Amino acid sequence: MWDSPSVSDFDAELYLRLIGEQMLLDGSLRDRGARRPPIAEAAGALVSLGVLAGSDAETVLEDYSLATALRDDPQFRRRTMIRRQPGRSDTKALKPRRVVPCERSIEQPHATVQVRYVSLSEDATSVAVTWRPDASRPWSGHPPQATLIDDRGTAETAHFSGGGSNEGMLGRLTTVRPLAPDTAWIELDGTRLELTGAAARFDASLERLPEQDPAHRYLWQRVAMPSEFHHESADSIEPAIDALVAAGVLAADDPLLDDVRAVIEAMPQRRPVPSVRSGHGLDRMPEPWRSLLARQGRHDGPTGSVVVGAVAPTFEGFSVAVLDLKSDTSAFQVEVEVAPGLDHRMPFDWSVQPRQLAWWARDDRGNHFLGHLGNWSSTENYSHGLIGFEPALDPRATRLEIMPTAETTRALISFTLPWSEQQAAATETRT
Amino acid sequence: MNPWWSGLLPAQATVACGEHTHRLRWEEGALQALDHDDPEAERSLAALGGEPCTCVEVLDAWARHERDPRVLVLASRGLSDPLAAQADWTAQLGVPLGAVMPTMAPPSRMATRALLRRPARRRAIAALARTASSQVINRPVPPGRLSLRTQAESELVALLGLGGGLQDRLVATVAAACAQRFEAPDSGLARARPQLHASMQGRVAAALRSWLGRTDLVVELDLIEDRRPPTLSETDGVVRAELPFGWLADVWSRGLSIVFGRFCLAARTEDGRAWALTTMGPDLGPPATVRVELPGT
Repeated sequence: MWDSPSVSDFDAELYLRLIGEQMLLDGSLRDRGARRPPIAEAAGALVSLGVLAGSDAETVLEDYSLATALRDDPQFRRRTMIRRQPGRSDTKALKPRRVVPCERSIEQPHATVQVRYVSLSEDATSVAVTWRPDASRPWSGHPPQATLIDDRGTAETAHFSGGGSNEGMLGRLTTVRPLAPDTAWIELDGTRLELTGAAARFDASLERLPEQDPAHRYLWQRVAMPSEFHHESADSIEPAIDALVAAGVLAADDPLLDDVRAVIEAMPQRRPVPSVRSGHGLDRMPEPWRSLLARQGRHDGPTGSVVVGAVAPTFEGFSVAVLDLKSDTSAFQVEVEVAPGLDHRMPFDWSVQPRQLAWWARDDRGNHFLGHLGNWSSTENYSHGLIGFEPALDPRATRLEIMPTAETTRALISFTLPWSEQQAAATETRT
Repeated sequence: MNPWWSGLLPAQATVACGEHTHRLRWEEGALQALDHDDPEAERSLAALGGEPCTCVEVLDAWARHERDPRVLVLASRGLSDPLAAQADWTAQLGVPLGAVMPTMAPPSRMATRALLRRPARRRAIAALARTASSQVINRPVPPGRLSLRTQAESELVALLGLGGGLQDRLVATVAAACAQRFEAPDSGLARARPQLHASMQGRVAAALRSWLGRTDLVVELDLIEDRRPPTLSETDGVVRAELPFGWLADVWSRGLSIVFGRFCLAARTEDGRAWALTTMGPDLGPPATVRVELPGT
């Protein structure tokens, strides 16, 4: 290791470059594959804390990315990705929409289309579907499309976007031009869907996060947004910690560091789930991590779904819509839209400040859940996909709050879980 | 005062230039295209839509980067840090990295260059110049409009792909130019200082690790002014080097970092032939002078 410069004359760019020098001399990147290297972790921390300008950090990363390629990748086939942060533009807020649950199975000549809900707004009309091709017939491989007609007789072609496999694709059929938002029904390739259902009632608001030491806030945010492509090793956050300590914005003996390290060690991606009750015990972990980890490994989640269709007020430049939730015994997933587009942490991605949110959720029993990006499509201005949450929902919970969290503010989108009402009704009937 | 290239032997490499293999030679601080006696005419021809000339493009790229600190960031830190240099790095000059590019120009364009003798080429240039003012010239389609940064990156990679020791001479050239900046600081030096400091620390560390046989050696570098005595010391397993930036040009670039098993702190010469090297032994004891003399030419 290199010794860090003293705090009083800390030169953040030099600090990063010396990490780069160490990488070159040790050849340490050869073993990391596509994982994010220490120089990028340190850069992210220093930029987030305002110790180093993002553009300066990106220049350093580009230098050492190229230097690494010159040594290990002479054909430049694995060049790393360093997205330069665009200037902040005004977010085009997502529009409120009428979302109608519509469980319906439609048999087509080559596939079965399972409709989940219909979403109608001034801007767009889409039908959420699971599309299953007929296994007995060869599938052309072309993405499905359909013709949608509203009660005014307006017809539009809808194209599929989504993902999956030959056995089934989850996604949406979206028209180029919107149909009437207040239409009483929609026909999908001739099959009429009566839009009589009602989405769950929801509350949507914003909440400012409690004041927190900026270094603490950064580290917890970083833990809450791990790579979707790689298991985070326990020491993955150490370069960020080292950088913050070197910059003098975090004490090397800060008690928080034990908590952060213990949480990373206990995170579910490090399967098999280690016992967090030993060593740094679960009861000593801070919330929301304690309740998050307490239910890890449980497989008692309720099976069901709920259509929501909520759009939260814009916060810190993000506009978020929660469309529906599906729960099973071990996890749950939420379909969302976000404007502007969110970034995946891709393989070979050294970007300093990927545009991301931490996806938290909590229920009315004090449990917390952490989400990660699943199937996801994104452009500069818009993204849409699934957030997979763990652990499983608590079967006793009656209400859930989805909490997309930015740096200092989060949105709260809360709704009642329908199976709790069904259980209550069943109980009432029995008594 | 001796020129900065004293003690640096000439270096020469070949590149594919059109359908020919041409020689590029560095000597006494300058790069020359030995097989083109009128590079300026080649530039004019290329600017007016003629076939680009690789040798001249390399000369121009060299001139653009001979003071560029990024050369020091990208180039090798020493024998223990080789680049995976490939000849086609030079062939892809002007092409974004990783893009596929044919290694040879189309036959029709190659024939044009081959058939043009020097006087004829000059006449062709003049004719092209006249034509250029009134109509669009049929330029080869560029692989894409390159940003300045992408172009600079492509040039750097091409230069670092040159064989025959030219990469080392480019580093020596940049090191000497940057050392002069430390002697007479300009407004941009502060901005470049982290690049220069880190890339020198990497080279010092590589040399010390190799010298002491300790691959995990912790090294700190203090960049000192020229007038202060350079030194090495070790405390708690950390070797601290106090060296001026000029060490990179005076010592490292000349391959003098380790001499007779001793680490060289400074190299001085009066005549470019007899050198006094200030050195330290592996025990980091008091410096001692080693004198060497280059053979006459």
